[in-house]
Amino acid sequence: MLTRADLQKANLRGAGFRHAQLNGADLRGTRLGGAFLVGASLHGADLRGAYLRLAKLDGADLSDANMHDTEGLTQAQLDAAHLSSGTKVPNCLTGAGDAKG
Amino acid sequence: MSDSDRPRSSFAGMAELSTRPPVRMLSPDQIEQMLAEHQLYLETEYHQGHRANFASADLSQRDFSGRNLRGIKMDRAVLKGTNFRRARLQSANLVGAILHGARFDEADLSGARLSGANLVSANLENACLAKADGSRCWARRYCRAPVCARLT
Repeated sequence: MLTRADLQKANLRGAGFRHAQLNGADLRGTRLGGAFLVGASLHGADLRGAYLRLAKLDGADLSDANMHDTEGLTQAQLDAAHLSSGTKVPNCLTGAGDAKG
Repeated sequence: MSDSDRPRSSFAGMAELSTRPPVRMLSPDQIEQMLAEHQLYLETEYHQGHRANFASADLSQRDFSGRNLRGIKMDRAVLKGTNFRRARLQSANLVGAILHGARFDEADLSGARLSGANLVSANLENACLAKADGSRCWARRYCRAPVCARLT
């Protein structure tokens, strides 16, 4: 059985995740402030409640990721990442599906 | 003020991590012995050797690079600056571990448990924490001859 990595509530402040594979990972409630996620693959990752202020998401694959209730996330950060219509973004921000609609 | 009245850290959620057991100090010989037993445990499909239990141990600044540490127990361990570069840590238990500044670049952490761990300033460049088995994870982008040889 394939299980997802469990990083719930981990403190990942300033950690470097460049090109890391985090597909489907459980990142609920993680502290990712200033984390470097450039080019990281987060397809289907669960980021609900994560703190993402100043996290670098350039080129990160956030397709089908759940980012509901995240804190500190800006539209600029989202725009620099790859989203899909299945990406769930905080209510105050615009995702890929919203832009097309 | 009773303990129950005190404000609790938001990180003290699922596991009770605010009350840490005493840190265990291990000699280099003890560590190597436990790693050898773990290696045997993996190589014999769990028939010989023992799964290494480094729970609450202080292994800061140790070098575990390239090691096969699949399923190892390191929950609540102190692993500041520890080198896990290219280590195989699939399904490892690192719950509540202190991993400040640790190196996990190109490590395989698929299925690992890291809830409540402190990875501030850790390096996980090219690491795999995906919901996939290690061979798929490596093969996708990072397959290198020595690594592939270890995975077969």
